[in-house]
Amino acid sequence: MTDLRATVEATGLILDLVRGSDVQRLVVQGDGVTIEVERSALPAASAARPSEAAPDAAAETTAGEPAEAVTAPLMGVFYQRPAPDQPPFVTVGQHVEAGEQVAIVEAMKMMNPVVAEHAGVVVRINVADGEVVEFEQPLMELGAVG
Amino acid sequence: MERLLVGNRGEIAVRIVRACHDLGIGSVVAYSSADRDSLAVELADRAVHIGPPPARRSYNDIPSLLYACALAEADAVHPGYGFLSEEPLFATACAEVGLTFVGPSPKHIALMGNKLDARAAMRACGVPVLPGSDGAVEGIAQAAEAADRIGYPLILKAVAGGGGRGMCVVRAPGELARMWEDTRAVARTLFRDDRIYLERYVPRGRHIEVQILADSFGNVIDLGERDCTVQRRHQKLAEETPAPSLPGDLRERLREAAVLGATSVEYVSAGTMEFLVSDDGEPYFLEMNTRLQVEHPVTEERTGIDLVEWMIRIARGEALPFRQREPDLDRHAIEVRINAEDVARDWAGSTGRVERLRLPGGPGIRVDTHLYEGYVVPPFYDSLLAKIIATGPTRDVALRRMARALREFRCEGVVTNADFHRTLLADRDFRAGDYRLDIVDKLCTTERSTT
Repeated sequence: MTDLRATVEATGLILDLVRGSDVQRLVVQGDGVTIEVERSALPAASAARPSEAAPDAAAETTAGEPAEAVTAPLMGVFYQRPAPDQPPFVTVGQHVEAGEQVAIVEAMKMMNPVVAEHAGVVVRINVADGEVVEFEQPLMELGAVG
Repeated sequence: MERLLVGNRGEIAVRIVRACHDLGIGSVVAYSSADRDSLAVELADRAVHIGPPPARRSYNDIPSLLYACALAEADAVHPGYGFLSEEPLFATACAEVGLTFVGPSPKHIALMGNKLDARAAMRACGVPVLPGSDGAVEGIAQAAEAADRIGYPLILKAVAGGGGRGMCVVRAPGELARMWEDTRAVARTLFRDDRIYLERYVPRGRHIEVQILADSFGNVIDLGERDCTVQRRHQKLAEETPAPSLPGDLRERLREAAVLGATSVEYVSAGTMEFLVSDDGEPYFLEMNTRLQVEHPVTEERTGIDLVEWMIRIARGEALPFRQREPDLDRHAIEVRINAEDVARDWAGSTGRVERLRLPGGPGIRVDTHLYEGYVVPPFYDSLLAKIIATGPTRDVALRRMARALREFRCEGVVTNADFHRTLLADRDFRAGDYRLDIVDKLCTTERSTT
């Protein structure tokens, strides 16, 4: 649940935590909210950018609009490719349509498609190929289009 | 064994995590989305989100539990009670991937899960069973034939049934055809197996069970009996050990029958042999539960033996260090189950947020619960909220301590059956230790007519 006041408060607390530490970058994920804190060269100039994850310009999201996490539909093994000798479904920076398959979670030889609920740009893939994932574990993040 | 995964929820998940902590074993709790904020998840070293609330896709889903073990690097699984605890496929699957299943072998789970095979196995080794059809009956004609031989009242039971479900009492020949169809339909729905057998029905009986511990070296001991006669629709509400006022040598006969049965089938792990005792003091084997029981704490409190710890130690190959008759059986212990049930609304299940909670304490009181203030009781699972166990040197002391504990107990925000237990504790027959399987109906009727 996205509660703006709680998000702002949490961001403040996170900034307090990060301040004076060696942490360069911190991502906190909750229900529908992602808070990312990334430190620039100057120690005290931490920036809180709610739900924005932008390692490259192509993945810039509209400020305040949360990045969409694509989560595991069940427990199983995460695969980025339809088969070992084939290219991955998606790569970072790629645009995906709503309903497009972006990965597989295999459980007991059943290949369960992972589908993007909304259109967006792949900002990050959180899980390595062949890793076991939990139910609803965020597998990758999609930035909003535009 | 380094790390144990708990494939369960609620109070029993908390109980097993505590046993891991006591033994210095790592603990992992597998949880569904409905139990994200549960006490077990908070207390365990690690928690793995295995699926959505419906048990079919979480607590009953074998692949998810196995993947959770892989992810958390668990090398053992404790199934608790309910869910997959008596599913031989799960025990087999664990063995196949090299996980230690904390429980009996798949063979024993399957044997006792089939009520007819269990009956036959017990009869073969001399454990008394109720007169019955000795096999599933095919069709109403064969059922009527068997019924004439057994006599009325009788009980129709699903071969795959258990835990009080899939049973129906037939009081007269005229009811047989309709009950036959009803029971078959229920069995088909609940167990996907509509085979039915018949047994003599024992009115005004008592339900008494014997706790067994058996290691893989052939040592089998019993830890005394438990009286589980306080039931409503085959769901136990209160249990005590020892069973009060058993006639003659019945206690010894029950305990010997339980050890004989478990020894004969070469059972290993903790287990419970359930018996029905007729009004004239004859014991009959009902079923064996091949798992930890909800009511295990009364035995623990009476004997001082930690059953969950010993299930784990037996599973990792240790031998029992105590012999028969060594456990201290001098104390008396009683348990009541606090359920999220609205007794006034025909015991309908309730949910809600626990607003104010006061758990009892003091000498002789143990509370096994997953409740905390602010906890939201989810609507998806069984209604057990807490077990209060009172122990004393005599039954009388244990009863007084239980009455004190129930006075202290408060749980606001969720409707519970605590008042039923207060009524039970005040009942003259219960206090005298003279009660039968009709006690709950009797108490509820009395209560209604006096208000």
